[in-house]
Amino acid sequence: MRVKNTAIEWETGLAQQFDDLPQQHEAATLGMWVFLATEILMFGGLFTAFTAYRATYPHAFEVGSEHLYRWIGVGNTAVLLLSSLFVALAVHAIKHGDNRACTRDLVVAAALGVVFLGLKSIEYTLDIREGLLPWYHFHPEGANDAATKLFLVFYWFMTGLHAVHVTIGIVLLLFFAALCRRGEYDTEWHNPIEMVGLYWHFVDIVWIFLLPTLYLIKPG
Amino acid sequence: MTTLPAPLSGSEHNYLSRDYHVLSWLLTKDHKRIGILYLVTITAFFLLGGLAATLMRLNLLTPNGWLVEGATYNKLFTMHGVIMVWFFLVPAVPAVIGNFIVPLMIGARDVAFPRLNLLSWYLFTIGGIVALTAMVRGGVDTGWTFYTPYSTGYANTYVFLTATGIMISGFSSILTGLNFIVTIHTMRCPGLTWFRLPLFLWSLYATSIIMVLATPVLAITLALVAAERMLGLGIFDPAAGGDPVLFQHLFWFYSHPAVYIMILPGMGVVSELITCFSRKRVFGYSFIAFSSLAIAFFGFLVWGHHMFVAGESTYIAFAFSLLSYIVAVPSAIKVFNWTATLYKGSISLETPMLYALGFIGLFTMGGLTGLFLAALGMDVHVHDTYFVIAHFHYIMVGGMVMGYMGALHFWWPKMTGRMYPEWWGRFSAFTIFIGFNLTFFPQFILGYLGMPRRYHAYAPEFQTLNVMSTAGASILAVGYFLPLCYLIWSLRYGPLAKANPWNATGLEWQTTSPPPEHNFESIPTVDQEAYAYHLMEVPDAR
Amino acid sequence: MNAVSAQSGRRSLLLIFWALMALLALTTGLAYVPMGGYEVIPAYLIAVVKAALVVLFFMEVKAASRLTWVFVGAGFVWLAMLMLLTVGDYLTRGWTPSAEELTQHNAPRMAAPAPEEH
Repeated sequence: MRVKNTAIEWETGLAQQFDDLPQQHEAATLGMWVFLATEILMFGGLFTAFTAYRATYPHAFEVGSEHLYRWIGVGNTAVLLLSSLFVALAVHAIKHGDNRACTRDLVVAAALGVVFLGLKSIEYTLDIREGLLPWYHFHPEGANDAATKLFLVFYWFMTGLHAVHVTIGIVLLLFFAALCRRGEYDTEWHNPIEMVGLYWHFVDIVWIFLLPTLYLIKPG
Repeated sequence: MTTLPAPLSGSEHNYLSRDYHVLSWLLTKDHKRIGILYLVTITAFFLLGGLAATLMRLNLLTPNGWLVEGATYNKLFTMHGVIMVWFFLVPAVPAVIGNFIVPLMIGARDVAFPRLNLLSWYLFTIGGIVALTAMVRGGVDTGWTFYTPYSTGYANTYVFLTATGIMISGFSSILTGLNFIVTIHTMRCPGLTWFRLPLFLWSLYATSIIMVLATPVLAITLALVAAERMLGLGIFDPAAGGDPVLFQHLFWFYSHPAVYIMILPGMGVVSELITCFSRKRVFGYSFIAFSSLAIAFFGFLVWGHHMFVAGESTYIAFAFSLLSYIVAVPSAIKVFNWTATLYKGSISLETPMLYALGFIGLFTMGGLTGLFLAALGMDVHVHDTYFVIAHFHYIMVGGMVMGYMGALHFWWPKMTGRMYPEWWGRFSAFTIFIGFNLTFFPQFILGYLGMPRRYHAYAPEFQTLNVMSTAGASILAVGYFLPLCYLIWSLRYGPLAKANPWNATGLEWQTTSPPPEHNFESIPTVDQEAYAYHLMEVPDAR
Repeated sequence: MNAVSAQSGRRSLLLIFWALMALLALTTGLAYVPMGGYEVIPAYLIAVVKAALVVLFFMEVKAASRLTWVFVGAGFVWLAMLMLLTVGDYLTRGWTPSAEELTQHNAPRMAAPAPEEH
């Protein structure tokens, strides 16, 4: 993030604790990856709990998965992959000094994030109507035991936490798109664009794993 | 690469005298001031945690628990555990000493992300206030471990609020770890290669790895507990198909490595103190350095030894037991290397050195009794008894708090520009050592004889040992109270400290005491190994 | 940083995207093929390949420093430790024979000394 120095602005974007831009870039990249490692372990706790219960109740988890809207899950994967492409294109554009293309691509990626959340909201609404919300009028169709409910608890928790990340990501994408439009970044200085890109790709990767974990359990 | 001139530090002004306004502290991005903010905060928490311990020890003077009721006692040990673990031990050396010293040691102007650093102090303080609110409003009685299904389904106390506070302060821990990792990687001054780094930095680096990779799992686990408690989801409730043991897996995946978050920085401090006060290069530098990383790695593979009697499978218990023995190897390497460093050194027994020697002895006892507990059969006998209490207090109080006190005295001249009174320092170090052993050694025997932990009353035959323990605790309390007094006294009346009062190696001693705002007048360059005491001139009389 | 390299960079990103879409189609198709309980293996394998493509090309780790590789790896290695040891517990819990099974298995030997206890 761009730092306004209280003392002297040595170089565009250079914070005063660093010697030069390459050092700052190295620090920012490493910091972002350490943060993403943290995020991996945070989602990892949920995936581990899920897997432990799936190993214990394989059948009930298949039944639970059947309640979900597989095609919304698959469609949303495509939407997120596409938005990831646009973020990658944005980073590529700013590296070649194309502010306009970078701004445009970031906005498109954010818009696709909104599409993702829209599809997810439709899915959530349908889920609630079918009584799949474990703590509110829980009455799914067919035979369901306690373990099926457990599956749905994790479905809501994991997709919910992911949706929170998507929302934060959309805000960040739009914020940096606005800065990019103002001409804050160029071929030399574009750390923040790269960092927000890394975050957005990470959110995409979480969904790549949520798809087989939640939606593709039951064959057929 | 263009190297910029170090910014002017305003000549005679140091980081303390630069500005006296309250906001200049609350909005500071200076790692040294943030270290001091942490120091004040965790000292307050230490006193609160100590207060809870005092009430518990007083209550245990008689077998029938004369002072407090069972329910109050439960809240007291929970308060003691929560405060001491998350609001004192975890941040003690990393956030106070580490924040202050790391950029100085590597010859940098600040940490890599100063604003995140300040944010982490705010998160820590907010988390602490939230947890304290829960305690003031009525307390928690689950123990610091929050075991399910009691914490999720039955406890009628402020579990949610406390868990929230811990989660918030957990993010502070993550940010501190992240900052250190990036700072140590990217901001070392010219010539300071990895194998010239002081060993304190290796151990803080290993600590940071644990903070960053373990804490998120605690956060998500507490979130699951909170959600289950609020919405009745049954994630860890056997009646709803959940498994309480799964909670223990996730909890100990953080909380066992957290033990190493607490002890590794102390080990780093000891490496600094032992070399300085025996005027020798460290024996086996790379062994000590890599043993820190080995502890950080293997420390993640042993958590199941907390669950031998909790219902985990016998086969995974075998694996966890074996791995627990493995983690003892790097710890032993450190102790052997420190001892070899002392050998034929010209040892002087200033206060920090007394704490370092105390650390080595007490940590060794704590570590060896840990092996008892890692043994599957022995653990069944002493599980959840005072043996366990004594074991981890030897590590955390005998080890870590000793390390912290040593560090505080060692770097006090650098932090404040004043010397503490040496005689009082030595006196309180001895008091703490004696008080500590008298408090906790009887607890090994109590536990072996079968006194369970977490009860406010006990069988009459345990009284003698409990009275001994309480007597020791009073001595220990005096030992902790003295430094509080004389260190505050020294802020005004202590003799002015020289730039390098201990004649120590290390870049932090090459700048003034206290340092200027940007640490160095000009960025230093390193051309030799750490601890080159053998190359140093004969030290001047201090 | 000329126009040609800009063009080829964009093209390779598009290529990766289409590869990802193809893998998505593949994993969705495979979800309809019964494999006798082993469906989970191709499903997760494809997820790993997709994630690897995103990490290596979109997140540019392929061209990144070794240090980045280490921290990318660390996240996944530590997750593997958490996952393997925890799930290992659940998978091996059934291995220990129950008290009844032990009694049945040892029935001939246990039967003999039993009367002596009276």
